[in-house]
Parts: sequence; C-alpha cells; structure tokens
Amino acid sequence: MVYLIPEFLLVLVGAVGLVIAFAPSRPRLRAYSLVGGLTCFGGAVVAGYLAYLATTDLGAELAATAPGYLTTTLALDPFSRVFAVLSLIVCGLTFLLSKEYLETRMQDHQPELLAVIAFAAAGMSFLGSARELITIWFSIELLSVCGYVLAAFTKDDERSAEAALKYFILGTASSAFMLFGLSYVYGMTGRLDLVGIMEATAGDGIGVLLPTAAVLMLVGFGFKVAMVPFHMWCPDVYEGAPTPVTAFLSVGPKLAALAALARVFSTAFPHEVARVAWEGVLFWGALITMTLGNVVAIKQSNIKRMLAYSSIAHAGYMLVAVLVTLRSDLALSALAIYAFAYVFMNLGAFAVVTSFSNRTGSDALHSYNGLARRSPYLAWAWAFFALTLVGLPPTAGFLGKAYIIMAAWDAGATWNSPMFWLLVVLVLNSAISLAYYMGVAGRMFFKPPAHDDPVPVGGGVGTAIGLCLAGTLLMVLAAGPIIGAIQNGAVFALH
Amino acid sequence: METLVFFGLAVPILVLAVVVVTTPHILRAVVSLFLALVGVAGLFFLMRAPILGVMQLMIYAGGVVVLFAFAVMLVRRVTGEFVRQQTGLAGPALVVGLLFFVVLMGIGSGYLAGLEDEAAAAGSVHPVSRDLAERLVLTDVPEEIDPVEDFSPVMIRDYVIPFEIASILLLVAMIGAVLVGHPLEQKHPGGEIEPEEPAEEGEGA
Amino acid sequence: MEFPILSALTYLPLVGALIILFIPRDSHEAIKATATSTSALCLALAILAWLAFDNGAGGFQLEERAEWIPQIGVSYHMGVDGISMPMVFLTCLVSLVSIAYSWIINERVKEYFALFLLLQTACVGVFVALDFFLFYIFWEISLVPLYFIIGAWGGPNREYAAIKFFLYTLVGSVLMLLAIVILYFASGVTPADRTFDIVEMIERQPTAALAPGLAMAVFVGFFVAFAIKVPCFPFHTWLPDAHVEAPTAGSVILAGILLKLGSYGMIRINMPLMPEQWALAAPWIGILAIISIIYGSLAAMAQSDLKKLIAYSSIGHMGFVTLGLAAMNVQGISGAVMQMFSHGLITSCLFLLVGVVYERAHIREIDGFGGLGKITPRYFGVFIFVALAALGLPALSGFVAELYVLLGAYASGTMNEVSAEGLAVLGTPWFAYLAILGIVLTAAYMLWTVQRVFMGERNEKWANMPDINPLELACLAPLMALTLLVGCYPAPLLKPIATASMDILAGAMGTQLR
Repeated sequence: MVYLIPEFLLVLVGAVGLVIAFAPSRPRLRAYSLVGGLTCFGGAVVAGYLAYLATTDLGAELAATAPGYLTTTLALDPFSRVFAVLSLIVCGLTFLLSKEYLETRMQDHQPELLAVIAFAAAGMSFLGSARELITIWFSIELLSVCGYVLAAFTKDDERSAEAALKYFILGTASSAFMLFGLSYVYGMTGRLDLVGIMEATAGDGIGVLLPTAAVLMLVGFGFKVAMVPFHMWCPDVYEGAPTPVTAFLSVGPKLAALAALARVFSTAFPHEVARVAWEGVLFWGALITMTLGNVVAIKQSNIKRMLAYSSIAHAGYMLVAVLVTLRSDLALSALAIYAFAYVFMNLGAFAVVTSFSNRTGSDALHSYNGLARRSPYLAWAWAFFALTLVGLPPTAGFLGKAYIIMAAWDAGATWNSPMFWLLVVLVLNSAISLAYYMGVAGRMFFKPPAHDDPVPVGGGVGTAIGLCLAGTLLMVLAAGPIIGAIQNGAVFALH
Repeated sequence: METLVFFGLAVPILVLAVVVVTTPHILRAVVSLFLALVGVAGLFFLMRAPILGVMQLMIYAGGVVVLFAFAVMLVRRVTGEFVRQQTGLAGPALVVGLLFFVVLMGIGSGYLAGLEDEAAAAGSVHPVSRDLAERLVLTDVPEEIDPVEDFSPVMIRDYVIPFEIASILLLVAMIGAVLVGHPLEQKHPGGEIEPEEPAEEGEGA
Repeated sequence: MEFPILSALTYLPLVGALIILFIPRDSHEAIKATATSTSALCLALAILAWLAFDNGAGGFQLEERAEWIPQIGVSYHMGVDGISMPMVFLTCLVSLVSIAYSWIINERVKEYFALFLLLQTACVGVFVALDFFLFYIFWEISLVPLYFIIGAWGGPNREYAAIKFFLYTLVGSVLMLLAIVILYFASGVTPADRTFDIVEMIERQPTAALAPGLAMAVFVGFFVAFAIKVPCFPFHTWLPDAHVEAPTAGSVILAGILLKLGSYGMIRINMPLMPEQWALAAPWIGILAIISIIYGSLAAMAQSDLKKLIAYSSIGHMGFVTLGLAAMNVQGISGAVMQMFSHGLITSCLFLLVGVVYERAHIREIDGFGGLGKITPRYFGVFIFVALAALGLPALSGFVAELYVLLGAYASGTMNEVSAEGLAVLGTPWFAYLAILGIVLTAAYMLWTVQRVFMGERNEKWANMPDINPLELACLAPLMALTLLVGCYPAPLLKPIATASMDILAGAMGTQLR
C-alpha cells in the first residue's frame, strides 16, 4: 500500500482542488497552487525513496508480500516508482507555472484546471506502472479524458474549441483501435497480465492475428505519443489550449504513453512474429516522426505550434529508446534519463512562453524580437532551454541524447545496418532542430524590439523556470548520483 | 431459434450503422448509434454473456452516447447550427472499411482454420466455434457458475485499482461535461453543485 | 592532493563571467576591469602551469582525475602534454588580448564580456580534457558564445553568418558524437570494461576491433568535425562569412584559437586512435590540404575586402597545419603544431590591424585606401612586420613552422619505408613542391595588399586619420614579440612539441620512438 503514496497524493491534491473550487478567490488560488506544487515535490522525494527501496532486498520482500490487488494490476518495480517521481515533478512544475496564467488570463474555473492536471498526473503515474490490460486501458483513458477536458477549458475561443473537438474525436478513434487490439490479445491468450500474454504466446500457432493486434495497440499508443502519422491533432491542440495546459500535454501523456509502450511491448510481445511487426513499425515511426517534426517546425510562425512540432520530434528520439528495449540494457535508462531531461527542458521552454504571453498576450514569433533587451532573464532562459532541446552539452538534453545513441548502438548496430543509419538521421536531426530553436533565440538577441516595455516575470512561473534550469544543469554536473539513481531504477520486474 | 434471433438483431444493427454514417442530421446519427449499440448488447445476451451485455448497455448505450451528445452541443456552440456530415470522403472511407473487413475476415478465418487443425490433431470432440466462444467470452468456467456472482468479487478485490481509476475518470469526465455544457453567457463565480459529490469520490480513490 | 591548476585555469574565466553577471548593467568600467583582470590572472596561471610542466618528459602531466558518471565509464580527466601546453598558453594570451582590445565596445557590455570569458573557458577546456565526454562538452560549449558574439555585435549580415557558423560546426560535431559512442562500445566487451577516457582508449586501440568500413566511418566522423573547424577545403564556406561579420575581437579569437581546436582534435584523437585509417587517408588529406593552401591564397588575392582577405589567408595557413599532419612524421606534426601556434599569433595581429583601420575609416575596401604609409607611419610599420611574418620571412615564427611542415611533407613523400621519424604515407614529393607554390602566392598577395593600402597616391579622404594608439599597440606588442622570439629561438617551444609528437607517433606505430 505504501507503494501508492505518490498516486494517492496526486488524487488528494486534485480532490482538494475541487473542494476549494467553491469560492475561488485570489489568495486561495495562490495558496492552492503553492501548496499543491510543494506537495508534489515532497511526494517526488517520497517516490524517489520508494524507487530506491524497490532496488533493495527489502523492497523485493515487500513486493513479494504485497496484497493481491496490487500485484495483479501494478508492477511494483523500480521503474514504476521512477516514473512516479517524474509524474509528481511534472505536476508540481505545471502548478507553479500555471498560477500567473490563471490569474491574468482566465476568469473562472481556475482551481478545476489545476485539479484536472493533478488527476491527469495520477493517470500518468498509474500508466507507468500498469502491468495488465485493464489497468493500462483505464489509466490511458483517464489521461486522455483529462486531456480532452483541459484542452476544452478555453471554450470561448473558437480555435481552442475546434482544437479540443478535433483532439476528442481523433483521440476516441485511436482509443477504439487500441481497445480492438487489446480485446484481440485477450481473446487469443485468455490472459490480461502482460507476463501471462508473453507466456501464452511463447509457442507457435499464434499466427498473424497477434502482430495485427500489437500494431492496433500501437496505433492507440502512437496517438498519445504523437507518432507520425498520428500527430495531426498535436499542433492545433497545442496552439489552442491554454499555455500551461499545452505545457502539461506536451510532457505528461507523451511520456506516460512511451513508458507504457516500452513496458507492454517488451513484456508481452518479445516473441518473433509480433516482435518483428512492432519493431518494424517503431523503427520507421521513429525515423519519420523525428524528421517530420523538425523539418515542419522550421516553418512555423507561432511559438506554440513550433514547440508542438518540436515535441513531435522529441517523441521520435524517445521512440528509438523504446525500439531497443529488448535489445539493450541501456534502453530503459536512456528512456528514463531522456524523460527527465525532456520534462525540465520542455516545461522550461513552455514556462518562458507562458510568462511572455501572460504579459504581452502574443504567441507569434515576431513578438519575441528583441526580448533580450526587454527581459534578459526570459531571453537567457530561452537560449539555455533551446540549447538543451537541441542536445548541446553541458545540459541534460545532451546526456539524454547521448544515452539514446548509446542504447541504440548497444542494441547491436553494425556498419551500414538500418540502426546505423537511424542514428545518423537522429544526430543530423538535432542539427536541424538548431535552426528553429536558435532562430527564436536570434530574434531575442539580434533583432531590435518593437518597443522597450519590460516584460516582468511572475513569481510562480519564474520559480518554475529556475527549477527547470537547475534540473537541466544538475543532471549533468551531479551526473554520478542522479544518473546512477535513475539507471538503477530503470528496471522492469519480470515476475 | 438462436439463428433467427441473431439475424433479427444483426440486420437492424447493420442498417442502423449505415444510417449513422450516411444521415446528414447529426442527432439522428446519434440516436441510430444508440439503437445499434443496444442491438449489440442483445447479441451479447444471445451469446450467454450477460455481464458484457449489461456493460454494453451501461457504458456504450449510456455513457458514450451521452458523451456524443455533449460533443454535439460543443459543435453547436462553435458553429451556431447543426453540423451536416461531410460526405466527400465517402468513397475512400468505404474502400478503407471494406479493406479492413477483408483483412480481418482473412486473418480471422485463418486463425479459425488453425484452431480446427489444432483441434483435429488433439482429437477434440468439441466444435471449434465452442473453443472460440470460450476464449472470447468470460466463460472460461463451468456453466453452472453464475458469471455475475463470480465477476463482482474479482472486480472489487483483484481489480480494485482499475476500478478506482475508472471512478476518477468518470469524475473528470463529469467536470469536463459541466464545463463544456455551461452556457457561455452565464458567468459563474466558480463551481456550483457539481464538484461536491465527485470530491468525495475522488478522496475515496 | 596537488593544486588542480588545470581546473583552475579552465574555470577561472567562468567564475569571472559569473561575477560579471552580478555587476550592475551600467558600470561598464567595472565589468571591463573584471574581465581583463580575470583573463590576466589566467595568463599568469598558464605561465605558472608551463613552468611546472616538464618540457622534455613527454606524456601527460599535471593530470587530474575524478569519477564522474561511473555507470558508463565517464571520468573527469584533465591533463596536458607538449602539444596542449603551448595551446593553453596561446588561448590565454589571445583571450587576454581580445578582451583588452574590447574596451572599445560600449554596447551590451555585460553580456559581451561574460560571453568572452565563457568562450575562454570552453577553449581551454578542449585543450586540457582527456575524457571524450568532457572534451565533447567543452567542444560544443565553444560554439555558443561565438554564435552570440557574431550575432549580437557583428556586421550587417550578422544573423546569417552566426547561424551558418553554428549549423556548420554543429553538423560536424553531432557526427563526432556518434563516432565517440561507437568507439566507446569498441573499447571494452562488458559495460564495466568500457571507457570514455582518451588516454585509456589510445592504449587499447579500439578501432582494431571494428569492421574496416565502420572504422573508416568513425574516422570520417571525427575528421569531418575537425575539418569543418580548421577549416579545410571543401568545408570552409562558413569561415569568410563568420569573419567578415564578427566584431574584431571575435575574429581574433575565432582565427586565433577556435580554428586550432579542429587541428588539435586531429592530433589528439584521429591520429593516435585511428592510425591505420589516417595512414590510408593521408594522401587524400594531403590533397585537401594542398587545395586549401592554394585555393586560400588565390581567393585571398581576389578579395577587395581587407577582412575577407585575411579570412582566406587563414584557410591557406591552416592548410599547412593539415599538410603537416598528413605527413605523419615528427617534422610534419611538430611543424603543424608550430604553425598552429604561430598562426594564432600572426592572424590575431592581422585581424587586430584590420580592426584598427576599420574603427577609423568604417570601410574595409582595400582600394578605398592608398598612401596610408605616410599618414599613419607607425601603423604602417606594424603592418609590414606582421605581413612579413604571415608570408614566412625567416627569423619570424611562420618561417620555422612552414619549414618544418615542408620538410615533413617532403620526407613523407620521398622515403620508402618506415623510418625512425615516422611513416612514409604521402608517396610523392609533389605535396611539398605545391605547398612552396602556396608560400609564393602568400607572399604575393600580402605584398600586393601592403602596396595598395600603404603605398601609391595619398588618399586625401584619410588625411586626418589618427595613427595607432597605445591601447592597440599594447594589444599587438606581446603577440609580435612572441612571433619574433619563436622565429629566432624556437627551441623552447619546439622541444615539448617534438617530444609530444614522438609520443603520438609512437602510440600510432606501436613502437617506442624516444
């Protein structure tokens, strides 16, 4: 039961949000976002301890004696708790960076938005540890429904409402595909737990239905991850949703779906026929996703759309780590490290965007011209996050990318093998991404501003930016302990 | 008799499904969908899977169609009028649908044939369709056991966590429905009645 | 534990940059003074480090080693040998000079000096890092400040030049990252066995275990990254743009130090880690070097913009470095490193001199001047000195370096077997002959430029142009003095370089040369 403290905290934070929604006044919102955020960071520490505990003998003993309702549905392994840390950090940072936006841009329903984010983070955490199909399904649906609700929060805005509707319809369709796949898997094997499915499909005679089912499930996950060609919703929704929501959507559902993807496919489908199918789909999916994301991002004129395409590209990088889960011991470490790095750098970048749009009301790229003179803190923060997102050292983005390359090479790449060329494409992609990330930085530093009004940074979002900066830097400077902890924790329990 | 009932249900379902995608009036589509889903529930009962039948009624006929109704309301808000379905992509949609059907039939029949061989090799006396039925429906147990009685403890004991996740899910869906369904003109100071009861449910999870 | 002098040397500028961040935006003098004194302190430390360094001993000295990411064999490993020590000194010297010259900057002073100090940290870091992770980190950091320096304080077309510079060099370095990972996995069988340590890897020679195609791909990955930085034909096209748009001090540090990072990488990584591939590719590298030399000189001759002319002359001079390395013998490598050092001094002077005249005239068209010799005699004298150094006049540093490179290339082209001094990989003496043609061309365009700017009819437009001022002279003087010193008495510099070159060749050939 103690394992569920992180999830419990998140649900509690959400429930409190609904209670205080009765009479939201400014001080209450401030107190809620602050206390909620701090609770999340505190919970992250607890979850980190649980992750450590799971790697010890004591943890193994606890897992062995855990009650049935836990062991049936959730994997009590280190990775699931590492992912709980991630969910709590995402939730905490989103709370901090939302405060100013809610105060300045939204008239009502402010605590509800934060509450839904907390529920979504709980779904994230559940999805990261789910080990059987029903839990996976409900977690992913919880996450999705929260996403639909969050995207529809600014329904007054026509574009926003349209994007929310698009998100809802496409999301439901992809869920249907996934459910179709899940039911086939269950029908063929009669098992719900991933390990059971693996055991039931060990022999021959399964035929082509299993790979079909696996690929159908991949469609559902691909939608949440925004893998090409299931990425269409992404730019519209990111542009239309409130910026803090966009920040959350670009991180939460994507990472949770990637973690679940890695767990489901490496645990349930390690056998030849199905494996060839999903690895093949993921190979091309990763390659096309990263390239399309980066190339299309260059042409955007709205910073939220640009970051939407950039997040598609990052999904492509992480799919490479998922692709090699069965082939390399480093793959899960790479995925976890990149996930942490991505949380800090992407939320950091979105925090800058939120902070800017709170004061100026604009997301157009040209309005960022000359920001370095108007707000040096925001401009330098953006420059830093841009470099991290490109994957330049000494930042967490570099470490994550290096780990992904290492994992992929470790997976048995040889000269002229497809994996070799995938890696070449990957590194060239990070060079392409420089063009648009630094293009924005160039606007901030090299172009004259339209006017000289300063852009003040609010306390909450400023703190969020500071935390993200610290996170990206510390992951490299204190790499020994931090990476060591993540790497120790990036383990699936196969029981 | 069973065959008769089967066709009695299957034919209307198909007709209604066609109506769902062809009718220009979106509310009519929603109603047709509702009826088709009820028909599918009937099929489940026919296959002696009452739980699935009830689920089908509760979740799809009940929940999902309501969601669709909300979606329709959202659309109405955006455009100010009922949306007419686009039929420009009917041709491609038909092709893709047929293709999917053919592939599934091919794979399914291949799978069935494989099972037949397997069954023949094992000298099984049961017809394959029964094996398949056992695999697809929650009747991996002797028939005398009441599936409902068997099902409920499993749901709230072993699968209590997904059960609770589902409760949070419904809570969020409710918040969403209230938010989206709120008329724009009215400005409310905050949440009204709706957060009250879900809050308790959320804390229980 | 000894005083970690290399770490101090590397991070002192960073500390200076952080201090500058806390100085109020408008107190320009305080910022400039902080930056200059930090940089001067670094130079003092560098001299101390060189005094502590044993020139004749060979191997890596002043080493520092600490665990960093033990899970994947990354350590914090620093050290210098006879090649990196002079380069560290050069970096500190040129940085000090460019920061001192930057006192003329009056716009966004805080950011400017913080970036310059960051750049110094990155460059010193590359020269002292002995772990691939650390090396790569410093290597990439070095791109960032210069991008901002070119983009924010550069000429009219600065944004294009800045992003072009960044993109070109980044494409090279991401390929290098891939190559590093491949080497890492070849360095050991089990995860615990693998290492990112450069010294350790040189001992293990991991490329031997790789398939020939892959080994060559790794070699090319590194070589292209370094060749872009050098820049070697055909990867040079970013350089003229970057130089023309960069502010004077940016050009100085770009030509004086950043280009050397590329050739340093070739010496530190390509040659000792992939000797077989280097020997195979040497003739092709030699051809690229010769093309760079001749193309650079011819292109310089065709320029009408003084700064562009110097930029192209850099391509030509760096061609000598590549040629010396391609020769793969002691003379060649020593000559190449000497040329790196001497070009660092001379080209810094040249860019400073262009900056001096541009500050006054705000044009750089060669034909826009004329007869400056009579108007600004002291400037004329300094320019003549530096131009002569650039064209390789004996008794100045360029001559020693180019002579060694030519000897190396000739020896490598004429000897038939492996000799005690290195390998015979070039196969024909024509490399040396063509390089001599390059020297002649250099002399031609340098003298022609001097003639067009300083001789001839006096252009009345500049009649009131002030002569070179004490600040500028103070910046130029140490560089010129060193040029003369190295030219007349190269032994103290040559000794550590030759020792280290022998170490590298010994590692490459698997024998003991010393």
